[in-house]
Amino acid sequence: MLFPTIEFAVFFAVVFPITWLLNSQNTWKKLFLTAASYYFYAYWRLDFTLLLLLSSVFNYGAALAIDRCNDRRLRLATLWVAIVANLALLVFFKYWNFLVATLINVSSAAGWTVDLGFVELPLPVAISFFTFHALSYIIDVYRRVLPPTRSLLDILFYISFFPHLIAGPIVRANKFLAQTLGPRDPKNIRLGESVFLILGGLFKKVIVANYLATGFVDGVFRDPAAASSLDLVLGMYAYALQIYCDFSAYTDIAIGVANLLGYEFPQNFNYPYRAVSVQDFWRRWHMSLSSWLRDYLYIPLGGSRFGTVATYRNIMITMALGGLWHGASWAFLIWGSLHGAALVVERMLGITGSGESPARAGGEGAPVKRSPLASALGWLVTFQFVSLAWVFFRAPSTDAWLGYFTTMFSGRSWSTTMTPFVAVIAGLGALSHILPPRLFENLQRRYDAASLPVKVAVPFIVIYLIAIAAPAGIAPFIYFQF
Amino acid sequence: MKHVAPAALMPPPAAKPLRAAALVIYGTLALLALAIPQSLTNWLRDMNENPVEALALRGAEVLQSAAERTGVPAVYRHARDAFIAISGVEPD
Amino acid sequence: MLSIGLNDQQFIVDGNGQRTAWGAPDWTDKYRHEVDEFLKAAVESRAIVLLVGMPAMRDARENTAIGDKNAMFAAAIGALGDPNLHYVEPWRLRADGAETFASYGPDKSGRLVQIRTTDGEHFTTAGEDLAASYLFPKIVEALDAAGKSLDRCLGRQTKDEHQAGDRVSDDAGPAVHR
Repeated sequence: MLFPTIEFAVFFAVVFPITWLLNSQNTWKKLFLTAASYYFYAYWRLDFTLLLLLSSVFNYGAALAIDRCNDRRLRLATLWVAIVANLALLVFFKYWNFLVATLINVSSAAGWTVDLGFVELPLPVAISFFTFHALSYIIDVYRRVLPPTRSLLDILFYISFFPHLIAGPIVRANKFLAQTLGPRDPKNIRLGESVFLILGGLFKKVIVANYLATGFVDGVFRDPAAASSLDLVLGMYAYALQIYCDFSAYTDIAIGVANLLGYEFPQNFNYPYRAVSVQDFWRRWHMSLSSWLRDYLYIPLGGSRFGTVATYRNIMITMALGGLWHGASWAFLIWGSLHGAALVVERMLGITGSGESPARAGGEGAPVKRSPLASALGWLVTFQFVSLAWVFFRAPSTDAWLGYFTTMFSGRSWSTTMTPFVAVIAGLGALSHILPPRLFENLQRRYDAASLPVKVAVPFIVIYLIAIAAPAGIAPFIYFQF
Repeated sequence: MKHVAPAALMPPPAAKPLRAAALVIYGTLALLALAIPQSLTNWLRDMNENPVEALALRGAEVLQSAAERTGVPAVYRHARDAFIAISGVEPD
Repeated sequence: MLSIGLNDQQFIVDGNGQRTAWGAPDWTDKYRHEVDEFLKAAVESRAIVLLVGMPAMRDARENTAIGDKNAMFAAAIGALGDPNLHYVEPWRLRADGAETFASYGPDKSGRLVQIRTTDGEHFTTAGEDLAASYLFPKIVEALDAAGKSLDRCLGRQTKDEHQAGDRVSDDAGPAVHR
């Protein structure tokens, strides 16, 4: 079920009181929340709850088996078996057909015949997310970051917990499992923050992302060769805004909902389009994924510990696979590789993530903060690069990208099909980045200090206005397909 | 400059945060059900019939007719019509 | 030209606001009635209608449902017998034999590409290109049968007008040559 629907409102209205009524009986509470989460997942498709269950049980057992190994090599071998099993599941459902088609195409070009079958099975919703949750758990057990839990219920609960199940954020096992050990303190509910996250998420998804998609972006990307150059430029920026609003909306609502139930999720977005470098972008965009890739892929590959060439290689592999995680297509691989290449170029040029210049030659002195002009230039270049790269993410084929860029740079026509309404929506969406964060923080503080009637009136009025302006029907969140 | 302890700048913790959260959640849902009651009845009518759905639908219809007598749902309808007319989006 | 039915696995609302839930015993009859009313309205307006059957779906239940609907559409159009109404057999990946859902298929150059989306229902852009290539001749055929020119319908000069040097009132592109 989707967050901005009556179904979810009813679901949460039932889950919330029962969760807190059971709070002092932690095991029963976890059992209830796990059952509720499986119901939430089954709402998409019943048969895949079995897959979720099997994956959770397998990884529960794998972690115990890893921990039981005293021999270092056996411990590592057990970990690898578990990793391969998890990835095999992901590859089977998500990448098998893509790999088979690629192999057949390559073989055909070489004059060989390859006879491999395709798998026509539905792609389980959230498989990329729950696989990454499982991997983080077993790897952290191997690294002795946390002991394996003896409670199967805790693993079932961790992997299936409905706020993060479908589209993140990717919550680390060591952070979440610590929260399952006992009752949650209601004083940890940050009502103002949760309400603002949920309301902001609803506005970004229901209004901004939906109308940008249906009112402009979908049309431009459907047939780029027929669009004007201006429409293609605007379409590129509009999609950048759409995907940010769509994805951050989901995780904002997830974080807010989890907090109302007493659980803490990590922040997933931090004004990514304010980034002054691509490194900075990846510390602000889908932060839970980028930190996962850093900790479980980049660093095990060697990180930056084995010289310049190895570092560049590790960056490229991490970002290429990070792109491929989003979907089985060359488009995602190219998108990830572009970001990898940009990160490599930044390293070559000595550009750091935060906009600071590296220490002066000779290693003396503290890093020097960039001048405002340099930061502005960094922001401009980064935003253009990120927006251009999104075209690969959104356009469905090689012909489509080629058509997009060829036509965009041809200067063929400067008319636009963007309506004033869509322009206003885009402007409202852009405000999410333009307005200073302290404005929202101030509003939140005022909300927290307000009387109860005001606390009720604010979400009512905001949702009422969203309902007035909402399009008929709500499209699924973009990241549901990953 | 007078030193102010950081805690003084933080908003006071809610006296009963769970109670406040519950009132906000259910108060909001209740107001929305009164202000836009047709959303609930339409949603229930879209479901395949079963005893629970039939009971809930009867309740929602009672709520809707009570709300309609106050004139409040009409405000939403007029506002929505005005929005559709101004924005040019597809009508319901 | 239209292709309908997959999203119709839901309630039907009639002119009085009465709802018939999906799965109700009289749902099929009511749906058939809606289809008939739509086609009769098309006949009255003398529109040329091509109702395209839905292609094979991955889900077996959906596949059965769309098969039933396709048969309903074909029967309804056949019963009316109007020369402007055409039922178009659904696009198929395989020229013969039983048609089953396939997420990958050859594009125009013969390269295997994804042609159906991961939801097991819709076409990807590459798939849409294949479907469009299949459907375009059907459009032309239907227009020819009705004595209409595709070029004129698109506001362009017909081939004959172009050769004769006649002008069209629209500022249009070159004639469509088939």
